[in-house]
Amino acid sequence: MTLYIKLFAVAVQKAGTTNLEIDCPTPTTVGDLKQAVIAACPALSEITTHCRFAVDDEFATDTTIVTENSSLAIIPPVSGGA
Amino acid sequence: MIRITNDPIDNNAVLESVQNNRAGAVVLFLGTTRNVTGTRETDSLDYECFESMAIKQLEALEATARQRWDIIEITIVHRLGHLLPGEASVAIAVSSPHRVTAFECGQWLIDTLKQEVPIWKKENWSDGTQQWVHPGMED
Repeated sequence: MTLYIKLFAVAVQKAGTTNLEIDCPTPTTVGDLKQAVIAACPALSEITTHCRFAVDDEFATDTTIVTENSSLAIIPPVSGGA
Repeated sequence: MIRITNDPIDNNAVLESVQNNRAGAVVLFLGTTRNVTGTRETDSLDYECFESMAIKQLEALEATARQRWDIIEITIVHRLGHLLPGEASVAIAVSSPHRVTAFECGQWLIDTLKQEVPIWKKENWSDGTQQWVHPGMED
């Protein structure tokens, strides 16, 4: 199954894309997805420990379930608000 | 009222949106673009966001604030895109029967926004280099 993960800010710089495609069996967990992301895009490995993952517009934990219908994003440390 | 916009923030409109005859206090916070960070000079900033999640997070902040404090109205507006020094990137207005509540709530809203809402800024330094700002992450 192909999962699409939205990227922002420094993650876009590292990966060279705003939308990462990951082949991964589903359902899976965010923890397993992180490993798949690092394997598919080693350039992201240096930042993933600082990033949170979002599933369906909510911050996720490593045990959050990911399905083929999940909306996914990698959230680097945020810096809005001035 | 929660809003993310590409346009300059209209401070008066933000204030008017929270005014109410029950209010004894209206607090307005503006986060403005600083032209110096440490020893480095900023020419401009660019903001981007994950809009669907940012709206959801901002709505959650408003809901939590209303549970914690006696608030009449809350407005949060965040601007995206290209900003010059002195321009406001965020406006937060709170009206409440009493000033202590309005100050506390406004402080909590901006502090929590800066930790939880998926918006990012990029520094366009005066030396021509650019850098995304990610607190806690070394480049």
